[in-house]
Amino acid sequence: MRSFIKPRKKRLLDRMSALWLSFIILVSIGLIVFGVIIHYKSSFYIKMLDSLQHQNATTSKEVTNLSKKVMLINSQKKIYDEVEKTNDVLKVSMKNLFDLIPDQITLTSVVMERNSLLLKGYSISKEAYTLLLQPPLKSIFTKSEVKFSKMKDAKVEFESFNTIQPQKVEK
Amino acid sequence: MSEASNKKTLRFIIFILAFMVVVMFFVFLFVIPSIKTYKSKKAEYSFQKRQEIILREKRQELEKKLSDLQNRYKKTIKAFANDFNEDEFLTLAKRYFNNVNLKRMKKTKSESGLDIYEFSADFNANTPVKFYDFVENLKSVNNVIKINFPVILQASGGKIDLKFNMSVYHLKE
Repeated sequence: MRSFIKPRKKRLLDRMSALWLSFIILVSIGLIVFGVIIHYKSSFYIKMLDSLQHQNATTSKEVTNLSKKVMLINSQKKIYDEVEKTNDVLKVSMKNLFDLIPDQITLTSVVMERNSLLLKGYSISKEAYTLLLQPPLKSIFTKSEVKFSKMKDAKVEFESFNTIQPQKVEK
Repeated sequence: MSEASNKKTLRFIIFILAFMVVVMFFVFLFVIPSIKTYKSKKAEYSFQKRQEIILREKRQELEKKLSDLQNRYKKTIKAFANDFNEDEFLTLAKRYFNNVNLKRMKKTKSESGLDIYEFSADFNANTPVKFYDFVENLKSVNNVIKINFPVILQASGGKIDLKFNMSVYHLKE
């Protein structure tokens, strides 16, 4: 057989298949580009995260150090106030004690504890102690015990032990 | 239906399937993992950013607080920072007492941060006014000194012997 027209070049793919293939390739490229962009953005965040985490760790250390310094100053102040208070209480207690001692009584020894007081001394008489020193001691301390012994020169030697019941701290 | 039409439909179905396979392949292998990583990193970044703001504000607040405390309690901080000068202390004590004596006691584990000294002295007086004055003037010493109980006063001839232990606090950075 013979044809009068020149044979057309046969295409490898027809138009529809070429369109489909192009479409598939384009979509694939689109997806790859999208993936690459997302990946690039992720690596940007990863880089930023590294420096941010490092910065936060440094700031966190600084915050810890500052907190420690603040706590130290607060505890220093607390101790300082307590020390001043204790010394003042001691001074006032000692002053009050000696204000209590009447002329008829002479002290030879004072042992002052936080919750107790031991007094040793002598009085012109047992009554002088009972009337002049015992009442104020009893009003200050919860327990007041005294022992008397006679001295050679008609005076009375006494040993007074006084205690305060420490207050129970409620939990 | 003609054979050509059938062929076209079959080809169309094959291309649709091929398209779906390709899309699924890229989506599952490439896009979804990338989005997951991106989302988690972004969330972590936002968290760290919030932390950064919180920490920065906290640091500023503490810096201000510290500076306030340092200004307000200058004397207290200095008192704790100073080393205890025994000579200076004895000079003060000699203004009130005679025969002053200061002995450093051994430190126990529970007493870390403070030194214990045994102080003894005597003074000539009928009343221990000098003792009150001494306690009052302890405030002028550049250290934190606490007089510990018991305080022992003993009459001895015309003078009073005094004895007590005292704690010198050290609380430095």
